[in-house]
Amino acid sequence: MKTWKLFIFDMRFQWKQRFYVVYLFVCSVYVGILHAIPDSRLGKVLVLLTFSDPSALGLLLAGGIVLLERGQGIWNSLFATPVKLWEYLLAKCLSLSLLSLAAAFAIHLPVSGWPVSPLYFTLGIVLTSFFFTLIGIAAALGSHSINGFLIRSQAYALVFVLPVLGYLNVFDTPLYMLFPSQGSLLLLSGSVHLLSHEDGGYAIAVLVVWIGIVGSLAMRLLSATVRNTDGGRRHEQI
Amino acid sequence: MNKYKALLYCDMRNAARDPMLLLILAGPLLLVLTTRLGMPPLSNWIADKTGYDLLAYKAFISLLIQALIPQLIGAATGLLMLDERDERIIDCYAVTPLRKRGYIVYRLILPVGICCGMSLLFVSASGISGLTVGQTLPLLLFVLEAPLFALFLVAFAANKVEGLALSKLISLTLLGPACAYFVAEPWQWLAGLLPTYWPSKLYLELAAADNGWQRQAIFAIGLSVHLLLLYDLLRRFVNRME
Repeated sequence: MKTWKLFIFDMRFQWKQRFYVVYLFVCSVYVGILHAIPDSRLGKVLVLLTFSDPSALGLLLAGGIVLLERGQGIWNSLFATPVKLWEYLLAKCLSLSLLSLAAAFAIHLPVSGWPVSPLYFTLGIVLTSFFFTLIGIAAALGSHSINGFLIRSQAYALVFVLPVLGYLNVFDTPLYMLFPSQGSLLLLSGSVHLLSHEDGGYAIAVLVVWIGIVGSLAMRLLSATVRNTDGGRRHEQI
Repeated sequence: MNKYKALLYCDMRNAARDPMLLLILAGPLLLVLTTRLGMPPLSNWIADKTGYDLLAYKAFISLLIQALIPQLIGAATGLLMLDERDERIIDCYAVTPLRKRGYIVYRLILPVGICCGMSLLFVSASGISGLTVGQTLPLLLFVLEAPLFALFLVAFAANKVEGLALSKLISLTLLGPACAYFVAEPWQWLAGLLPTYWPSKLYLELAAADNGWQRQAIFAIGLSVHLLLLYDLLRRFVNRME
């Protein structure tokens, strides 16, 4: 219930900050550009565009939200309530993944129609968005200014872009299988062709494992930022 | 002048602490270096693999990078100003001899200066720009875009989160060079609403062999568009601050 309320609050906040209006505009421009791309290359461009923007929008926006909330002292009040840290993170991930999903479908539907593997495609957007949102939050927690955060978040995310080289047939290695972005690219390609259950299962598993790793890192950093010790007993809220 | 020196000294100290300020300098430098050193081998590699001649589009690539330099500098400056406004640092400057006016002047002049240096460096050292250092009219318009983008963020964003969202719109101005290069006239004139279209169009006109009155007209319209936008955004920003 608390997560649901936080989720609604985050959605309202994002609406107020004009995220949806900006993305509506950005998506319309993308659709216009994609219509000019030849059909032979459209599939790859569409997958790469979805991976780099709608799916990964949380990287930039989540960090900004965290910095603003911390700067305005919202956490002092928020974490004095029974809200748990994981609920706070989950609400951020859910709300931004909804924006990612809306933006991704707003691009795909007018350009290539309904995805060939809609379930895998949707999971690809949501899980990739979760992953990058958590990276954005982790980067913001270690930063003191918005510009410092931008550098840090790009540095954190850069390494995860490597499988794109494989996707573009520039440089291939089986090591890409260890990267969450390999799973993302596989699931997102479900928009243009059928995905086998083996590939789908692997992609979901690798993303879930990485979300677990980055999630626990973000939890640790958030906890170190907001949690106090009280008489030797650690507790969730300050 | 001393009041500006104090702020400049402060910024230089912050540059060591805040990596983004360093990136304002390092980012465009990296772009120049990457183009100079990476473009020929990348072009050869793509030609070997796909038979596609990347250098055939060097004018377009050069335009994109010239449009990207003020974007990087302007967006970083705008986000820095939003940060300072969110943390009420601007109010502190207002009660110093610098005053709000001095703060705005300083914050907008500095990116122009950096952008000038970086753009000239790109033209002279990248190896792909068809312009000579003497043909600086498109650069003049590109350079004006750094304070334009910074003002766009601070005029329309209420805080840094909105600034981040609006910075997505700034990146869409790269459509200006794309339209000037790929879209046929008269349809490309629709892109004239984007400031980046005018220096791009002027660059392409200068690169073309024929000499005509269009160059002067494009420069005059481009300069007017930039100055009008700068005036309007500055007015909005000042109103917002008060």
